[in-house]
Amino acid sequence: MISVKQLLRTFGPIIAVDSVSFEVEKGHVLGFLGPNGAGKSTAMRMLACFLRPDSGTASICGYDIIKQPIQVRQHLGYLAENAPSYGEMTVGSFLNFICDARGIKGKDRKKAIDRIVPMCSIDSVYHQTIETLSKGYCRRVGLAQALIHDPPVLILDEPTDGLDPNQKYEVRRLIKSMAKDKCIIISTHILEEVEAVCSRAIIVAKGKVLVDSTPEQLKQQYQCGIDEVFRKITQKKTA
Amino acid sequence: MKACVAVFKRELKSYFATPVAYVFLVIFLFFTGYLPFRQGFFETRQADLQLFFRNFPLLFVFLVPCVAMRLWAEERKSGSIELLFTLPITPRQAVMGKFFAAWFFCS
Repeated sequence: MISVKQLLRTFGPIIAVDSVSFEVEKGHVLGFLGPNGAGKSTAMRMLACFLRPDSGTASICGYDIIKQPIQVRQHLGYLAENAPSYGEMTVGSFLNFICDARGIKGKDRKKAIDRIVPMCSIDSVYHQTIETLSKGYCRRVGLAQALIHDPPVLILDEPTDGLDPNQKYEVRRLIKSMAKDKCIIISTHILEEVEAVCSRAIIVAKGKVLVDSTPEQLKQQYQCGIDEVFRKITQKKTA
Repeated sequence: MKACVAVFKRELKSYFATPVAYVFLVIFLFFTGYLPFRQGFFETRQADLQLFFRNFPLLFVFLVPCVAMRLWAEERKSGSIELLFTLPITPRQAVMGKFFAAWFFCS
């Protein structure tokens, strides 16, 4: 469902994402790991058609991210790193705006909102303005925004960042429950999360893919916990 | 087209959710409602609105940028531009939506 070919992006002299290629099939949850500044977010932004790659391309659900960005965005739910939204809007009007923009209307809209609000447990803040919400609630609103059109492909940039342990558990459960019939990419540096939800893990550092494997395989191969594996791999290559 | 309307509606609402709209309207009403009378609207003894309209160009020079400047700047600053451009909206639709919102508000 997602296939990435030789994606490259530079910011001036810095190569943020260096010829990254991988493929993800339906039913998989791909964990995108790496130290800070490894190029995770940049890669995800390119997949969400926010940044243009300098060279290389990718396709999502068969649509090319350069030639058919609108179709890609229609099939994609994207949660950006800091869950941006419009502070002055209430949660309800924000979700309605997203529905407007995505062309969900009438009965479908009511259904979508009735489904998504309890799913992300934002019922209690539905009429509050977004700028008054705590970070955790903001993230959940962002998550609701990404899931409202029930997309086949989900790209979540640090979905559990800033959530309390209960909410983290909830979000992981949510991701797991959706994993069956979707294709999900999450980026994170919380490694227990990788073990908990991901069926595949890609480790990147300095824009390059270092490892593409499953969490179990990694642990077996290195005979240690996933934290240790991560340290070994990223420090060896960047040192 | 639908996406354009969505952006238009959101922008227009956001004017009235923030003080921008009210500040704009109060200043506008002060200059158009008060100044012509100070400049002798009745004293000319003529049934024309020249005095009323005379101030408009200068007034708009200052007021229109107030309305327009935040459209993209705010979006960049708060990072919501990332949200806007990952929705299925073309740049043209977003620009048109914002432009018409500001235009409609001014008129």
